[in-house]
Amino acid sequence: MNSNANATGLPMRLLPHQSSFVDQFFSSPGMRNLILQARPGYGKGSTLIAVATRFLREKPSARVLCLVPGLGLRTQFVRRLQEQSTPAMEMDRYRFREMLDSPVDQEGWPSGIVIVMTRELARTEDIKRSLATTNWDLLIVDEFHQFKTGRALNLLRELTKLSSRVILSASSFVELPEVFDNKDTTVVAWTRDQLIDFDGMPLTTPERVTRIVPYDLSPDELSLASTLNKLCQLLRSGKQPRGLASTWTRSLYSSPAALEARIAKAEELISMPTDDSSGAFGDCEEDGFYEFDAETVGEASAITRRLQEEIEKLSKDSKLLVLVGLVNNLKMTDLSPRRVCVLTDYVATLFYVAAEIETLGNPLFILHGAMSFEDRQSSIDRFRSVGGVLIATSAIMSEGVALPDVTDLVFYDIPASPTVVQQILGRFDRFGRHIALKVYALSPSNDILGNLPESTKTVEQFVLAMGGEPCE
Amino acid sequence: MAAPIPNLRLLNSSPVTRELDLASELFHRINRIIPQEQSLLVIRSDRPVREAVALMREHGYSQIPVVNDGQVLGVFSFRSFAREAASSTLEEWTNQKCAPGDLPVDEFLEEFEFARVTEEMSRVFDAMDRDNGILIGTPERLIGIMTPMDFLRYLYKVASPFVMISEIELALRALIRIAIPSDVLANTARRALANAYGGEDKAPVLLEEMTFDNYQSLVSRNETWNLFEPVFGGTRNRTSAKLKEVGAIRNDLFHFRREITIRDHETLATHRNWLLNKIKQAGSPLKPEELP
Repeated sequence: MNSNANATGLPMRLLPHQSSFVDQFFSSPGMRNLILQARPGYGKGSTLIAVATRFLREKPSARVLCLVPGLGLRTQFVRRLQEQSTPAMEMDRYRFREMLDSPVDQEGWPSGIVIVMTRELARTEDIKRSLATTNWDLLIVDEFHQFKTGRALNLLRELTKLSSRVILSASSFVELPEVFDNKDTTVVAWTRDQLIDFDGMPLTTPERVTRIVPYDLSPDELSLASTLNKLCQLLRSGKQPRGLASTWTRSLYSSPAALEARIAKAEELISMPTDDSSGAFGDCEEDGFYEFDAETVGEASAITRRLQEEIEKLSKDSKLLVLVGLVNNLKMTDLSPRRVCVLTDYVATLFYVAAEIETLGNPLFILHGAMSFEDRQSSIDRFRSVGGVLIATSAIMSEGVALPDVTDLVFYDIPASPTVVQQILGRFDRFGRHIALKVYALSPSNDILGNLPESTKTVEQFVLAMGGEPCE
Repeated sequence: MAAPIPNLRLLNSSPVTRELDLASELFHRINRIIPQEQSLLVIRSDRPVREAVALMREHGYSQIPVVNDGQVLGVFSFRSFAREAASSTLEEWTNQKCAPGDLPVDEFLEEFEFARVTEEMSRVFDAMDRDNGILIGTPERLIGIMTPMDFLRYLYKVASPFVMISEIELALRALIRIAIPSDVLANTARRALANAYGGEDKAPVLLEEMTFDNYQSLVSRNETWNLFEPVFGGTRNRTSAKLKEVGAIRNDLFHFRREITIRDHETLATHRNWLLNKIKQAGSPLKPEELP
């Protein structure tokens, strides 16, 4: 059955709510800004692809710009457009330079093709300037609610002004930024109870089951936590921002491998001959670089050496043992094939967990952001085909991965933000799911010298984000 | 006269442009060498030397393109300034009735060559050697500037993962030799690798014949860990995880699956240093020729 394909004039098959959105867009050319709000997993991405495809078919020389949150999504958008035979290209810094240096194209941005770039690239000064010299026929902004800072909103404001039609999608229900004039803007919100399948039946997914899996830290692990606590106290003293200590704590909660990677990074910065060592206990990606005096760096450095020594002496990992027990209990057999996905915040933890899980004999796959698009796809395809265990980073879940056939989802690290939990769940608890998703979250049960309240708060937020009471 | 060849796929979809676009992805040409996030700093020709020097010092540059209304006039550099300043006599300076810093930068310009982003790196060696830099783009459209340091950083970025992987692999071999006597190694390898090769008789027994994954299997096997623990320390799982991570990067690197990220680079450096420490701690009983 492909009735929707005929209705939209597209080769891709759309669900009724998706087709309705596409039709609404094309039947109301005066509707300048269209905002699509829906939870992850409702098919926003496919809808945007459908709109861009039909737009270029109806207007082959149109200029179409699509902004996405990350590199993975950039590649995915382009591939999906190309699958519809829609001209599309990933724009990066190198291609931008080639475009500027091209001897035949002096007209700026090309037409007849969907230019897909990350929001971050679009925000860089020269590219932003260049984008602002073009009148765009269609501007698509995926996950526009992530435009939060003044600079990002400025970019959105400028591009919106220059575009004849604008579509913005958001995974969470957010207030319209003042960038948009309410008169010009139509909001379409998809809610679960409104959506139906191809046969007109309500689109529902089975209720998920959540379970917090506690683990007891051993005396050696408690001692390690105590040493780390000293470092955190040092980092919390003075004018250092609060987030800095918690990034260290989160790596401790994750695994000895994650903590070791953080220590190595700090040591590398300390060993630098320049003033860069002042950033050793910060994190350029998460926290920015912070100023530390030489005495603090020296003291912190001594603590990290002690941490490394204590890691070397650890003979067991309570959290990992609990995970192994959990995976073993899931009893993966040919008769009841399971697809277990274990999520962690750290690549170091991913390999650490993978090294243990592979000894259990189940098929094992990994998925993280540094993998090529082809390797990611291959991991997902093989996992979907044979089942087993997929160990993935939480970050990659924001890059358009769809895993509706996972039976068991394990949060090896509990995300700090409920929004992230919701985004991740959208990758699993989405249309196409026929059986209830079982969710497990590993959480320490004994006190690690003042850190537990933070952990408890995270678990409480997590449970709230899951929308239900967890089973013990 | 040959027609200009478009160098970007997006201009049209002919096979020629696709090939050229692929070329820029696959070959190490100038576009790859210019730092990705280079932000171009320029100055107008009527601005005083004092301002140019302050700008250059603030950004850590030794040269700055001089641009009026999008047109490149030349480059102001410490060298061009010194050359002109040194060639004037005291009398000439006195007659000008102003300090050198007050003069406009266009009094001290030097010419740089231009290169296109799609050109080969070897094409600009002479110009780089002579001028200490090259401008990218055209006089009407300046895209970037490339310096010898950009070259050095780029070549280091490209080459260092290969060097680190070779160090890691050789260090690993040396540590395995330290952990297992040579007469035991063959039997241990046969047992550890039998599954992967479909039988003990098919498994490689010489370290030089093994793959990196084989080393990981050998070291991280439950049954043999007691042999390796004194050399690697810590737990089997932590050692195995490190080798697994390096192995994944190594395979991606050697099979040219993707570009190596900054994080990969850091991981290789960290694990290389970890093995270096293990080598130092082992106080190697190996012969000098067996050391990595």
